[in-house]
Amino acid sequence: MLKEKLEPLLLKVQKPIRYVGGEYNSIVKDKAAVKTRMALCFPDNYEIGMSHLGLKILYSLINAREDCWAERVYAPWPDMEALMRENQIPLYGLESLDPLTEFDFIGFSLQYELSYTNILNMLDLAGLDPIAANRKNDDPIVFAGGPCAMNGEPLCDFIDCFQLGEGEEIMLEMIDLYQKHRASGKWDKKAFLREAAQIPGMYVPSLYEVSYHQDGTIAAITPKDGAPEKITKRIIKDFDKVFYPETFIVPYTEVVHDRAVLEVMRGCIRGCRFCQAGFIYRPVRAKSPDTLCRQGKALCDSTGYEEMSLASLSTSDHPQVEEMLDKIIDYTQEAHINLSLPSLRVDNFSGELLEKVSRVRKSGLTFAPEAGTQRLRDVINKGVTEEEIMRTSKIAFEGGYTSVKLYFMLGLPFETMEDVLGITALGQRVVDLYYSLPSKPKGKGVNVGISVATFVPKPFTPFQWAAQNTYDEIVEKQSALTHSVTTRKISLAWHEVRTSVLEGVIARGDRRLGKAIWNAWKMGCKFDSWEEFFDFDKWKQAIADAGLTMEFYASRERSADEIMPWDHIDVGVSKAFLRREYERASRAEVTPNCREKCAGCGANRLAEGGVCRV
Amino acid sequence: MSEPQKKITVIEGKPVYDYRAFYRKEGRAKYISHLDLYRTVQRAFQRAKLPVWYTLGFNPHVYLTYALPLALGYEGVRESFDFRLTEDIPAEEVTRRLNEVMPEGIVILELLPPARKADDIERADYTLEFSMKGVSPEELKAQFDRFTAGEVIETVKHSKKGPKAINLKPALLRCVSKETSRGILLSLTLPAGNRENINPTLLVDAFGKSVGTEPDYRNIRRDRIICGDGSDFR
Ligand code: SF4
Repeated sequence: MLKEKLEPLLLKVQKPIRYVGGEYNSIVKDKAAVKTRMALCFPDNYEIGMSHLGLKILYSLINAREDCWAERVYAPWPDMEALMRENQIPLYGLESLDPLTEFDFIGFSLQYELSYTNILNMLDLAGLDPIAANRKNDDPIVFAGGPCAMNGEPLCDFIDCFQLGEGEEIMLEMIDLYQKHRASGKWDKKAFLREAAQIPGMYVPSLYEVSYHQDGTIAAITPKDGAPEKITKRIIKDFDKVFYPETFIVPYTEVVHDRAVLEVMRGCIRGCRFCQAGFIYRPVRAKSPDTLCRQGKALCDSTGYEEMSLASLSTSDHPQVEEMLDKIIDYTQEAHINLSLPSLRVDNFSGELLEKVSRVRKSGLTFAPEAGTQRLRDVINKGVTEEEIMRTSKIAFEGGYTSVKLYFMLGLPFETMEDVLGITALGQRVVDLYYSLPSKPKGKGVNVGISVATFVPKPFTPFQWAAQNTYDEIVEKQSALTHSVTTRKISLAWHEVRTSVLEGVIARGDRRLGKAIWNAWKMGCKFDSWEEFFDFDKWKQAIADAGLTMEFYASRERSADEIMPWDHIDVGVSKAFLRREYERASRAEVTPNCREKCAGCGANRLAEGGVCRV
Repeated sequence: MSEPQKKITVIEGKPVYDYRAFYRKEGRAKYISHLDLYRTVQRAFQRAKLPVWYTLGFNPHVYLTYALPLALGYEGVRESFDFRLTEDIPAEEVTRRLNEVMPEGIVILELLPPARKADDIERADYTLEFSMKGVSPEELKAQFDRFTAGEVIETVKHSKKGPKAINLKPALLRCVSKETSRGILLSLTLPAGNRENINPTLLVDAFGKSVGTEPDYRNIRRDRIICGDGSDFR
């Protein structure tokens, strides 16, 4: 218990409530009565970490076991970190306020690459060596999971093992194995890790040797000590029956997502070629409307939340979307709960449901065409058409809406200047549409907000071979965009490009990048996803000092036969399929979604009986 | 003891039942800011499924008011908030149902019909313990006593209207210091309420500035809220 030492510091920091725990529904156990203690860490601040659904699920799942106690850990904001270091306060779990060194496991959720330096910083703040090989036999096991774990190579120096795919089963299997090893009386971390590597979906990087060609590409990835050649990600076959929390911790302070969340589906039938989530969570699985209603009611009752939202990659594609929405809207209205719905494809809805949905939807009008021309939308396999945008905008404008938000990406593979300028041209046509309507809202102008992200190629997507645009290329395209806007009705917005460059380097990185991450952290990099902390020059230096270049990872087109750093990971979707998709992209050929026609991606191997239920 | 009279207001032809909840705020809960506390209590009502009264108008919200907000980091032994129910439920039952769903460190002591107005509040009693790195309790007490013995205690108070220089001396209605094993313990009475509100940390921070060291707060507690006539705020 660090309470005594913490107390005098807390009034010196911003938002001390981040650091004390005690929230409603947080779980405090008697540490003498549990066998295994787990720190579930999110390498970003409290407000972001507390909003993450995956960790809420794992927290409840592990704590449902009487012999385990899971606690939460977030990255302290730099003001708190400085005071902790100055006063020798190690990083601690929010429930017990015990230092992390007293835990059996320290697990990190990997959601975005720019959080990696925080992992090193948190381990260091816990008094542990960030380098896995330097940690002692009795130090906690450091593991990681989440989407970025699918290519965890840049973190191999720091992480003992990765859980690939959905965590609900593998987490418990890992704990069981650990308890068995501990009970044997002679604890040997290496022996545990060797056996853990036999758990399906468990990747122990130290058991793989990577060799390189002269040109820096990978020559071979060789397993040792009986580790499997391919590690196959885990999925929950019967998603309707999977464990779901009956309750969430209710934070005191406002966090990013502060509401009851229902997970309606995992996976996506769409196959947009830029979207990693669309591939790594395949095959698609949905929960039944009754299960969702039951879980929603339990959550609202036990938290006191008056707001609920639905989580999935594409809620409109739920196989029983109408019945589901109908039931959920009825429940939330009766219970006075605000339901926030994502934008839905409403084409097939009955008039009655449409009316119900429109009563709920208060959010703004948004579209994500992602690309400015139909040709480029075909390249990326994004099934949003201009006609759809115009039709929906027309209805909305006639209903009183005066603003639309359009989301695009810049730097997509096979993009030409015509595609770039197509972005503002599309925006202009929406503006023109507004003024062409006799029934537009009287006396009001229209605002079309165009938000442009920089495309980052990701592993396990058809674009994993593609060269990312360089910083200069993106800036040139941005400036072309700026110059093509001729009306104040259109507003353009984008984020810092440099963070996307770095994200691109790490996303497709190999093990050698570990040194660069280490160097960057040593130079003081942390909270890299926060513009106020991001320091590109330090990162450049860190990568150069590691003997590497950004260009090799980000702006290099890979050849078809190159061994990718993640080739020993099997996410279901085959490399051959992804390559086929890349080639179709080059010809601007669309691929039908899973429901229209199976494209033979290979993810069916993971489903019950080898068959996708789309 | 007889059950105190209920306070009933009629709003839009319907009776609503006015309550003042007296509560304790302690331990980790002392770091809940005033704004966060509003949300916290509102969600507790929701979990307890109590028929709370919502304000009328365009944007209805749970009617919840605090006579004297408690600053961040302070414990309170008898704080209060006012709310209304749309049904007549015995006070003991409401208290029980709320306590069942309150987060750690917030305990409802009792519910009473509101007796005094927030404007009646004039002062409050506080207890505060602090230490300073590298300063012995003995030395600290001597320094602090010297600081408060002066004719004027100048400091800057930050409010919504911006910083303002004030003299704290007249605000020290009572100030007793005592050594503890790690620092000093102060017992204070200071002006409180809508007209003038002086928090004890303002005094200790001013002292800290005068000696050039930041105080390490150990405990800050509001013990009592007092009306102009010397009686407890009820
Ligand atoms: S195997 Fe076919 S249906 Fe299943 S996810 Fe792949 S493309 Fe879709």
